[in-house]
Amino acid sequence: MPDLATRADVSRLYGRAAFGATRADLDTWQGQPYDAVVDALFPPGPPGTIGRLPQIDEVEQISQESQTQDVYAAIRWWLERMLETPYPLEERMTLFWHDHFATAFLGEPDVGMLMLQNRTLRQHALGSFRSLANAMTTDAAMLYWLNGIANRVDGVNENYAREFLELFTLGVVPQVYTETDIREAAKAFTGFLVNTSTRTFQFVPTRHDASVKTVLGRRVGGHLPGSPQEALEYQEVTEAALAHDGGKTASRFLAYKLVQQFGYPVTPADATTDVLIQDVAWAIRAGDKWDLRKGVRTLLTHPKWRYADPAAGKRLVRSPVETVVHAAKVLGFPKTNVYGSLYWPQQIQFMLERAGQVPFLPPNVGGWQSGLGWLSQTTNLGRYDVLSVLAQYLHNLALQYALPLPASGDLDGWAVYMGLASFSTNTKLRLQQYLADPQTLDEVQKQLSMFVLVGTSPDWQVM
Amino acid sequence: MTTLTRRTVLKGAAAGVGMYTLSPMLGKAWGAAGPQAAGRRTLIVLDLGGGNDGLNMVVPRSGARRAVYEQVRPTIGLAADSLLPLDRGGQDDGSLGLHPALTTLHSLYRADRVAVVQGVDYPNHNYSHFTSNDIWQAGNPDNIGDSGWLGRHLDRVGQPLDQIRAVGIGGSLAHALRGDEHSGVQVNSFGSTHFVDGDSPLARKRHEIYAGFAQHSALDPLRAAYGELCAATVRLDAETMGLVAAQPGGLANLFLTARTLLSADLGVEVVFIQTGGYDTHSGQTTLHQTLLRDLDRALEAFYFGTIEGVPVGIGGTPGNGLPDPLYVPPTGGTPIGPLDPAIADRTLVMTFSEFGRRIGENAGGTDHGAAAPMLLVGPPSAATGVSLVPGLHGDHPDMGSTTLPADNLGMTLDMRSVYQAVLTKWIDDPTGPRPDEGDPAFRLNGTNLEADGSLAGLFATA
Repeated sequence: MPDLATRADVSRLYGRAAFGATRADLDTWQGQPYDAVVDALFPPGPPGTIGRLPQIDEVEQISQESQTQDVYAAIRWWLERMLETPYPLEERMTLFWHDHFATAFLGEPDVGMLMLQNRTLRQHALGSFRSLANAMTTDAAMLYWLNGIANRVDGVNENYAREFLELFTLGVVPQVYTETDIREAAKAFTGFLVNTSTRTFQFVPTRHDASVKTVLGRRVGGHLPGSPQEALEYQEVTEAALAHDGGKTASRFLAYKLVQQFGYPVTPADATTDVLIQDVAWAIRAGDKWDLRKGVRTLLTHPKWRYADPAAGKRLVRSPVETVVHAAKVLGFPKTNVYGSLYWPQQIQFMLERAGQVPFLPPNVGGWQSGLGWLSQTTNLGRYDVLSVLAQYLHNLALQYALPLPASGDLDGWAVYMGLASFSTNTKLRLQQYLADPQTLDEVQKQLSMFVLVGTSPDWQVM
Repeated sequence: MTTLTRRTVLKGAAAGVGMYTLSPMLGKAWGAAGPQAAGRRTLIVLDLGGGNDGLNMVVPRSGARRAVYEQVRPTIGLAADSLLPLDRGGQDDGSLGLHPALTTLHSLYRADRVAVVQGVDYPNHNYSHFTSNDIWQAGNPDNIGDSGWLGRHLDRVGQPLDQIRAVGIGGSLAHALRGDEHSGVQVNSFGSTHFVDGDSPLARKRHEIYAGFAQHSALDPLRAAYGELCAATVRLDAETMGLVAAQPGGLANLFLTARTLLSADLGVEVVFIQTGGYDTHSGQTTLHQTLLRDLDRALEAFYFGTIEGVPVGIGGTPGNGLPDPLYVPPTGGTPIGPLDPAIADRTLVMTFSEFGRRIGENAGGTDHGAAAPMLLVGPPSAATGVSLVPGLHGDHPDMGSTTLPADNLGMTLDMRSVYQAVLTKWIDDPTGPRPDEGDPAFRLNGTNLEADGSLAGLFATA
């Protein structure tokens, strides 16, 4: 008997890994083999290739134009890409890595560098973590953000080395590296500059510390000055980190973060006991391949991920970006000419700010909060506002662009429209309470209110 | 796996506001702040996120420390004659001085309103931004845990449903404000506490239904916690209706939001303000000056209602927050004037950062370091029964010698001693941390942290 996906499976899979389901997603995939539904989320081709791109290479275009420092153009561009891509999992993983290697727009790095970093994150999003880590060490935006360009043999700057070990590869529970490891790794990372016209890195041997270092017990560097090996010394630090404890430390740290962001609340200490984290970590490090596609596929097909723990209820709070993209998706926001942004209300970026997550503007190198950390009274206001701004915007456009909304009183229709398999008891009661209220509102206003209320309900906000 | 109980969910979600029972539209909620709440002493904690360079904030001006300073900081070192001397009518020796950007703070110092607590850190210092900031906010180096040092205060004193007793401003709700049972409320600005769809009958009906999500089944605890927050969100919207603050730009915006809350006399006791950018690994000279200038202007706006001497107004146009010569001042609006002296008398401002920075510079910046001074601004007279004792407190950390400079500034005072003094002497927390009772984080091998005498006399009573 094949393992077929139910409507609830599709709703939860898309909700947590693909910026949410639409009615079409539910209709298409219900009753199909679950594995096939998962596989269809992955872009075709070998790891590291970009999925199907829109008509023009909008990354290049934005990066040219955004010498203007207009980060909001980049934000709207990315939101649209999340909305329109045929491979939303790739975009979701790109957002995951943007949070992991969190780099913010501060003038320098400029928007163009951030866009190029965004492309690099996407190229490796489901590829090799080894390649991704090495690409981030030499990424122009990152070299500005964590002072790599100030790190030189006669003035060693520890900023990137510390975060590389703490936030990017190994975590701190338990902390397996010492302050000496950080100082040694920082020396190995000396010597990079950025060519500001191409927005790419340069290795400058005269700025590099050519001494022999020891990082996590492994010999690093000591190459002939000016040799090709010296230019690649930074990769030896990656190898030292990945090799720690047979790869367990780094792979468990990455798996912990995947479960935290795609699954349910966990702490770093759970990495040695949680079965899901263990299995995903093994899939990532197997054969020393650091294969993210394999790790993510293991996550999405794992029974512990697929089925909610009945004793614990639903436990993933969607992020503000996921809220915006899913809401726009179910409304059927129109296709645009790529980054024209004609159809995003300008307010959307401010609503995202209130809700606590603006792409390209993470609060610090630690990235955003997740899970329970998203929630407070004021961020809840932002979540509500996202829904009401989109509803009002559509109303102003006389609904000409929206997918037809269900009749206000059609509760089953609303669940399906919003990508849910069903409503919880209380949410259903509240919606009925709204519908039963004697009011003179016209039907369109009632429909828009239903959209806001379903979208802000616990059922929709917590998956 | 994390045990997910309703309580842990609520704590994590910073709700802790109790069940929603009445429609907030039925009545204004502030009424019951009560006589105890009015006139309550208040603490404003400022988190200088990123690791503030304490050694370029409170700087050696003369003596052996000055010689080491000049040797290890050849480019980012501040000239001795540019520093604002810490001397109060001859009471301090003036061997230390403030960064030249801190002119308002300096005038407050000379008016006996500033205490500088030197060499503050915690044992087994951690150099990570995130771990170290967590330790400072938890107030517990031995076990960071889920609760913060001020959240546990809220647990001890309770937090009536009709009061906002603790408020976070800037960023997301701070670890420090999270207790096991009670938590602070985040109010980043008064614009951010209201629904964008307004208060038309249509919108109010929606809000009422939205608040009803609080009745979600407790068997689904995270959704239930989210639902309770929906009710709390509606209540916050109602409770902050009508409050406005001048927003001249920069850190002053957060301080003036705090000032409006204190002036409204709602029973607010603790305000936790988060700012950032202090991670000056490179380009420190300009960056740090910009940050400290912003800090100084925030204090000027809070206490005096001016920025660079120009009146700050509600409804005016913000300035750009940049240092000279790029500075553009805020203009216009209804001037807010100086802070009511009665409020100044019951308000204590206290700064901290997750760490200071290395003694020696790298190349134009500094890497993560350890101990640093804390600044406290408070009343010199005990109008409310307690005053701040101005001047220098604690000992300056050893900087080594010119032949062998220290790598880092070591701890001379445990941060818990400062917290303990604030909780037991400034904030009215009669059941607060005492040796072997109250807050376990403040036990150090069962001894009274203050008993070492290092922090005796930060406050004086009438």
